[in-house]
Amino acid sequence: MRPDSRLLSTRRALSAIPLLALLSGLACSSVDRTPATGSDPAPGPMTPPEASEAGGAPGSDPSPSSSSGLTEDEILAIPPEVGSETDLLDIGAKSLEELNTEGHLKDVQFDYDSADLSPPMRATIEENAAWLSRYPSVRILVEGHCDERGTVEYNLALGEERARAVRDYLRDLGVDSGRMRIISYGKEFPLDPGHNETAWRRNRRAHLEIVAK
Amino acid sequence: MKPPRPPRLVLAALGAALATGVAAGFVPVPGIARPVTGPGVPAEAAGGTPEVGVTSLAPPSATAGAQDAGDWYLDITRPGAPVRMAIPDFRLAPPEASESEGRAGETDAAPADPLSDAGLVVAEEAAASASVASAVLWGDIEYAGVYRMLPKRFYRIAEAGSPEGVLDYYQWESIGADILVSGTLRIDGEMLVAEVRMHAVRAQENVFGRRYTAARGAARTLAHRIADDILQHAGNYQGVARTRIAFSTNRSGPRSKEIYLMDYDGHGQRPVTANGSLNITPSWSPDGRALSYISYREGAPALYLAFLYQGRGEKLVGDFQSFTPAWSPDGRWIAFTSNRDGQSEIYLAAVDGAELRRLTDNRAIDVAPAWSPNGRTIAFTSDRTGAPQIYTMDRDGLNLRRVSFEGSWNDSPAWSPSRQHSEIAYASRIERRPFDIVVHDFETRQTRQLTTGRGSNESPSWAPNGLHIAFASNRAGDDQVFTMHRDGSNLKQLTREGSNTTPRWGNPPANPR
Repeated sequence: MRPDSRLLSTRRALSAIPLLALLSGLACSSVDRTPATGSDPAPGPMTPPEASEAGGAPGSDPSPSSSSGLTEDEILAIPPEVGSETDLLDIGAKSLEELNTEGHLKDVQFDYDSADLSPPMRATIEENAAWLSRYPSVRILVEGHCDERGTVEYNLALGEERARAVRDYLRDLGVDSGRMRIISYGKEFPLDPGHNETAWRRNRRAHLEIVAK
Repeated sequence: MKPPRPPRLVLAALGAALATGVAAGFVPVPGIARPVTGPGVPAEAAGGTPEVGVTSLAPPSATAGAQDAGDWYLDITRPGAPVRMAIPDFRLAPPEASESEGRAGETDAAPADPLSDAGLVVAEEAAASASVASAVLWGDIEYAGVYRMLPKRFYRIAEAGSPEGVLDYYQWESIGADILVSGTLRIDGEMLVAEVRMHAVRAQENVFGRRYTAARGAARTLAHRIADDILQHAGNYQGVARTRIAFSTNRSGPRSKEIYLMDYDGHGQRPVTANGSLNITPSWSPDGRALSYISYREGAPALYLAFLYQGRGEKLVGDFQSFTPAWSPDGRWIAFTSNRDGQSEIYLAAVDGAELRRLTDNRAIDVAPAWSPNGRTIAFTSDRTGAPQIYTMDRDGLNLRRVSFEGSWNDSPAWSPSRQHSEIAYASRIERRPFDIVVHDFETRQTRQLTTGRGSNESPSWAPNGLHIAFASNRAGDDQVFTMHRDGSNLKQLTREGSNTTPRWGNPPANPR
C-alpha cells in the first residue's frame, strides 16, 4: 500500500515528465483490469476508466499504450507496492464517509507559518496523486488547516495558501484540476484539540476529503 | 465652617451632536437567526423592539432646566482627583393616576389598587425592575472610568440628614458628592417609567431632568439609555452603554460556528446566524444596523450581509473564497480578502454589489483589512517581507507604508475611531510566544503593550468612543471575549460558554425601524 516515497520524489526531481506519464499509465493499466476482477461492475458512480486525468476532458479516450514510452529502467523504478496493487477498491460499494475514514488519502503536514512543500510533503502528495490516478472518478476537496498559535485572520489566508500549494502540486502530477476544489478553514476546525506541540503539528495540515466518487 | 465656594457650574456646547437614535433591542432576522426565547434571554431579544421614550421634566426651580434644548455638558472639576458621583438606587414611585386613566381601553388598569393581588404582582415587578435598572446604571457609569463612584453606604447619612422628601445639597456635599443622580421608577400600564434628575451638588442646581419610558421588562435598555445621557451631560463623555459586540462562537454545536451579538457588558447573548455551518469574522455597518461576515453555508467561504432590522440577509460576494470583511466608515464598501485572482489579495466590494476593485497585487498573503476612521486609509496584514506585519495603504491601494517592525507575527489591525488619538491596535507576537494586544500611536510612533503574556490575546476591536478594546483571549482555557480600557486596565470577561472569537464592537443602532 505504501510506496517508496523517497524513490518517487527522487524520480520527480530527476525527470518529472516521465513520472507523470508513468503515473497515468499505471492508472490506465490498473483500471483496465477492473472489469476482470470486480465482482460488481458498479455502473452508477464509476465513470469509464478511460476518463482519467491523462486524457484531460471527459470523453477523450487515451489508450493504455500511452505508457509505452517508458524505458525498462523506468518500469523497474515503479515501487513494487504500487505496481502490485492489482485489486482496486470497489469504491462504488463504499460510502464517501467510509472512503474518507479509511484514510486512502494522506494529510500533508506543514511547517509552522509555512505553505512550502518539503521533500517529504511532496512524497505524501505524490502518494495521493497515485491513488487519485487509480480512481479517476474521485473528486476531492483540499482543506487547508492551521494550528491555533497563529491569528484567526491570517490563518484563513495561510490555510488557503496551503490548500493551493497541495492542489497545484497534484495538478503538476497530472491530477485534473477540475477534480479538485480548495477551501481554507484557518484554525477553526483543529483535528487535535490539544494545546501542545503534537497537536499543533497534526493541525498544520492539508486534508484531502473525497467529495464524489 | 467652610467659606462658601462659588458655583462652578459651566454649561458647554457640544461640538458635534451625538447619535440621537433611541435605544433598541435586537430583532431576530427571519432566515438568518431563529427567534430566541427562554430564561435568561431579555425581552428585547425575543421579539419586540423596545424603544426608550425621552421627555424633559419641568425644572424644580426657575433657575434650571432651560439647558435641555440643545447639546451641553457640565464642566465640573475636582483638582487632583476624579469628580465624585453619587447614584442612589431608583426609588419606587406609585403609578400616576392621571396617566393610567388615559389608557381607558385597557382592562388591566387594575394595578391602581396596590393591595389587590394584581397590584402586588406589579409592585414586585416594579421593585425587580428598579433593582435591575439601578445596578445597570451604576455599572455603566462605573465602566466609563471617569468618575469616582461614591459608595452607597454613605448615602443613608446624606438622606437621614435631609428633611423628609427634600433634597438637601449640603448633606450630599458633606459626604463628598460633586454630582448626584437620583431617579424614581414605576410601572404604568405596559410601560416602565423612570424620572431621572442630575444635580450639580456644590452649585446646588438641578441641571438635568428627564422622563424615560420603555416597555415593561426592558429595564436594562432603559438604564443603558439613561447612563449614556448622564455621561454625555455630566462631562461630554460618549458612553458605550447601548453599544453591542458581535462575535463568532461554537456554543451551538460541534463543527459549527455562529455569529452572535451581545450587549457591551456581555448581557443578552443571542444568535444572528443559525445555519449550522461555519460563520466567522463579523464586521459592523457604521450605523449599527447590519453585519457583514463570512459563511461556509454553501461550501466555500462567501461574504454575506445581515440586515438586522429588516429581517433580511444576502450573499454579496460568492465566487471563490472570501475572508475578513471590513465595512467602510461611509457604509458603502466592504474591504475583504479573496483568492479570486490566485493569491490572497485585498478587494473592495460595493455594498450594493455594483463594483469590485482589487487593491493589492503580489505573491504574498494580504489579509485582514481595517479602515481608518475617515475612510481614506486601510490597514492590513501582509507577509510580503516573510512574516506577517501590519501595513497601511490608501483606499486606492497606493502609498504603502509598513507600520509594525517589532515581533515575528503581527495581525488583525484595528484603527481607533477616536478623534483624540490616532492609533492602531493589533495582535503581536515576539518569537513564538503567545500574542499580546499592542497599540501603535501614529503621532508619537510609540507602541505600547496592553496585555502581558497571559494566554494568547487576539483580534482587538475598539469601542465606538475609542476608549475601550474588546479582544479574544484563551487565558482562561477556551477563547473568550474580554474588554479592557485603552490603557489595558479594567479587564472584564464577557463570554463563558464554548469558544468565542473575533469580537467586533459596533455603534449603537441609529433609528432601528
